[in-house]
Amino acid sequence: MKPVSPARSPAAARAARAAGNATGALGAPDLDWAPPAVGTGATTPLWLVGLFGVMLYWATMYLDRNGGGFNPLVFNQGELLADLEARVPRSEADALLAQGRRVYNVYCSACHQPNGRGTPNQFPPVAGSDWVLTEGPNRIIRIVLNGMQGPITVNGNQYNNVMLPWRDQLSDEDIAAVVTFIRGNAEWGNNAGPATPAQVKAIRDATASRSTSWTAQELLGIPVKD
Amino acid sequence: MKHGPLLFLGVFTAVFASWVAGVLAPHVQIGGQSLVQIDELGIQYPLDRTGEAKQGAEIYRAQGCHYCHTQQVLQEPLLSRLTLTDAGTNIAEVVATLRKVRRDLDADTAAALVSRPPQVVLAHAGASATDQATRLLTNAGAQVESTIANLGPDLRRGWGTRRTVSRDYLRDEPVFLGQIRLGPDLANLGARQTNTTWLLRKLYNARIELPGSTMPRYPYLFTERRLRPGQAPSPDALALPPEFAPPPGIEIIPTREARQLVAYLLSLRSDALFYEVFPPKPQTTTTNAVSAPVEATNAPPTQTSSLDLRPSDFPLRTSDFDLRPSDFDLRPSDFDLRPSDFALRTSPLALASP
Amino acid sequence: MSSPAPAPPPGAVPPPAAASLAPALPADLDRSCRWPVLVLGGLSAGWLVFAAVLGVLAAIKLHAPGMLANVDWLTYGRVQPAAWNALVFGFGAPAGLALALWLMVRLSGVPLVGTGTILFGAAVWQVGLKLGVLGILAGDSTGIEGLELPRYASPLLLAGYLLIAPWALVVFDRRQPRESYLSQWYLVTALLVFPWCFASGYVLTSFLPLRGVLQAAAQAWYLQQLWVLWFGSLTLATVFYFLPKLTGAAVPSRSLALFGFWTFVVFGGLGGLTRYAGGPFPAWMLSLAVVGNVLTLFAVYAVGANLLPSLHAAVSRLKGNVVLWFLGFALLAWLAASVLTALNSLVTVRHLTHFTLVTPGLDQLALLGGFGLAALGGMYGVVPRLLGRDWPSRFLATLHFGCAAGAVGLLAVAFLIGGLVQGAALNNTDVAFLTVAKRYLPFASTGTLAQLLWLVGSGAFAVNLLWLLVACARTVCVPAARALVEPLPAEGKA
Repeated sequence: MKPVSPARSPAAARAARAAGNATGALGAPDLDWAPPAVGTGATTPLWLVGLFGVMLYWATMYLDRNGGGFNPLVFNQGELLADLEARVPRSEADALLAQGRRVYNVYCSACHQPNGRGTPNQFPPVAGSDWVLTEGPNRIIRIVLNGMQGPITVNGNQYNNVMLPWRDQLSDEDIAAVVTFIRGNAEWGNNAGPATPAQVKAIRDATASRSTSWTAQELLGIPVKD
Repeated sequence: MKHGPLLFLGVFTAVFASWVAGVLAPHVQIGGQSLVQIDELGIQYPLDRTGEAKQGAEIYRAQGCHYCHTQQVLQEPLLSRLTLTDAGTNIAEVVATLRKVRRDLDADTAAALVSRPPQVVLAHAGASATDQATRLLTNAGAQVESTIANLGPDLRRGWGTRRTVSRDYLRDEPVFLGQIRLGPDLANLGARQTNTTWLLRKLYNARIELPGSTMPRYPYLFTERRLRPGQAPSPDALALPPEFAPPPGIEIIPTREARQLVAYLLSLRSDALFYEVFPPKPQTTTTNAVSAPVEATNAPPTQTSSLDLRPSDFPLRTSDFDLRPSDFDLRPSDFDLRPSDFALRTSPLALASP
Repeated sequence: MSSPAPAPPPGAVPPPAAASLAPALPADLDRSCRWPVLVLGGLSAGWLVFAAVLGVLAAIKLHAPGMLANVDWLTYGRVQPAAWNALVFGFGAPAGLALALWLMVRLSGVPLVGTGTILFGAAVWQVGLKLGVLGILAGDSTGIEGLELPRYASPLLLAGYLLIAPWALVVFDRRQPRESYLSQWYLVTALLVFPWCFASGYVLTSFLPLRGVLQAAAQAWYLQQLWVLWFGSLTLATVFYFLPKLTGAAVPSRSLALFGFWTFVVFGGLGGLTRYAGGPFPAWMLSLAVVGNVLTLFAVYAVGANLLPSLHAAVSRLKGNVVLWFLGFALLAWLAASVLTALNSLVTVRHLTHFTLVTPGLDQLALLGGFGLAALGGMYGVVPRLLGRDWPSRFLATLHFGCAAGAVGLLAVAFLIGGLVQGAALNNTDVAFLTVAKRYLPFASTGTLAQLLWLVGSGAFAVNLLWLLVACARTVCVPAARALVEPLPAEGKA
């Protein structure tokens, strides 16, 4: 850009010179008001733009590696939520149990009773039940999802009733929680392993097309454990 | 640039973007953080301070303690070391698994590692990597042991049992994070120092408890009281070693401000454990039973023993807890009620209330 | 120099041709902004000395904790923030505003308007700041570092600012050459950033405080804007005006300047949280700060590439040119501070320098060395032009430069090395904490020496300025007084 030099009247120029002469400012020449000249020829060097691009890429990589996935719970740079999860003492079951107790009290306890013993000849027990305390929760998740009908033998006793399906009412997490609760409820003397939301989701997806309730016969054909 | 408004708009946008990234987004993300419900203790962490401690925070602020003391405990990223202690019986399987865990190993090196336990198979690994490697190796029949490599100097100095995170500060107003450590970190002071007299002496003259300390004196937080001949010394008077004691007949009494400040200092704690701050648990596995995570023991969430803290890491000496007899001396004047004791009471019958 | 050419008294300059559209002359422009710039500059000089006294006091207390311990008004935790606020808001902001007004008027070729409002704003600012510093000394500080001014003081500062700064933007809007110059870009940035960060910082920490550590996040953002986008912009605006003017060399590349400016504005404000690296903030916030500080290096490179060659070529002109000394040193200090800040934000380096003297060392290098020397150099250039009279003492100015540059250099070196020593000891748990505390003491003493040097320099500047003002007042007052005492001959002639 060109320095702009203002047209000055001779008188004004004289006045300006008079003012200017007195203002050496410790060796500084007098400054006219025009902005300093700026060269327009030289462009930003290409290598600088290239390096800038590289550094922008580095910035995204850095944020990806050290940003903790932008998760508010990750405080150590370089970690992800998974690292936190791995450190938490294995007490997620406690949380699942608490949630499972709530779900059980709302949806299950009317028939299976708060103590899990069911009603003789009407509703089978879940406390100490051989259907509940299997090695894996595959069958019982299916029962909760789709319900159950027809004759079934539990701990040697015959029952013949209908259990409602809860597929639409309960989320994967709710079902995992309630299954974990009834399988692992120490108050009832149960001590079987938990169910995870992932397991429930897998079974829910696998049985998505099923609209009828299970029968005991069908279920016995399904392995208790993957 | 000919267009002033464009320049203005460009600058505005850039500053706004940095404001969003630095202030607004964090507020949206963690501004609504809840207190930690600790069921075992029936409390919500962080605990609300007592009124006296809240007043003490004001003293802390007014004296500018935070220009020399930080209130944040730092911790190295938690890195673990995994040691193979026993390869079990299925050597081939363990070697194959080890090569899955450590892709950089060739077959011979892996076999060599497995053949002569104990061997460090993972160093400086993150928690999830260690966890996965533990699971894989134990499933293959091996036994491994994980240890935490380094938690950082703050924890080794005994300034805390874990790092501090945003939820530790939910009750602080204002937050005294501090930027310089000319004095030790105070984030967890209440857990390592419970002696009121020690803290009062420290405030009166830090050189009493720690010769050579660089901490300023705060004599104006104490009053000098001249005893009349025969008058019994006040029970509140600060017991001082002879070289720091005032001349006979004069006693040093902490003001209310000093007591409030000490109450605040005692309330500084950040050692509760919750989701974000669990330190890793060193594990020794003896069976390959780690199939489902939940079947491990329901360990209570207090794993402080897992931290590599030696008793010597704590700067407190036993003498710090030495209470001198004078600390307990009750003198007749202890039961003297001054007129101010009655200031807010309406009925003399209420005198017995604490 | 001490015997200046007989200057016309300020009133003798012909009145500005404000009505005509013809470009104004430098003298007219200077006349229009004479009082605001002189008042703001003079006040800032006073605060500079006061802040230096408090700074010396705080520095002594750092290594001699027993001194004046009986007075609660003078405990380290109060003197330190009082000195900081006196320096930043007493010297820094008014000096920066004075230069911003003058530069904007000069570069826009338009006389300043709103002089009365500006003077009123300066008065409001002063009242607020005096209340605030007294409040801090009395123990009313808010407890947030950098945002200590009590609630009854901070709004006054903002009000004062809003009475002053918009006039510079008005002048910018009316500028004669439509093409704006680099300094104006940086000035617009600074003028826009300050009220924003000041309001955001104070509102979010003392009026409607955010929860928990978010206060510290708001504080870190504020400090970053204040340091980089406000003081940094003012430094660069001053340097970009004076250096090319004094060296006579053009700024080589407009394209590079644009690149530098926009990278500066976009990334400069992001790096605040490196102050709290490893602290109780989610990892992404800390990582973003690292990225911001590293990318700001592009702006630093662009500034250096545009200005250093001309500075290098002008070495021969340095002799006797005090203004150029100040601005050259300011540029170098700013470049050094920016590069070191970026370096210091890297996690491995931060691990060593955390919680040590490095943090105040870098802050001081940028504030005193970068902005401080640029603003003082600007004053040395501007004030004579406003008064039509050169500085009375070249010796005092030379002494000022020597002391100021020496103080900045000494302080930076002592605090950076001391910080590294302290950091190494802090990280080594075999070293007892008391030993750690002792290791920084020699460096803190060196810091006191540096603060004393700075005080001497500031005193020299204040004396020089006072001398100049008195000399000017004499040239105006003595004839006027004579006219009062001897009115008769004049009347007789009439």
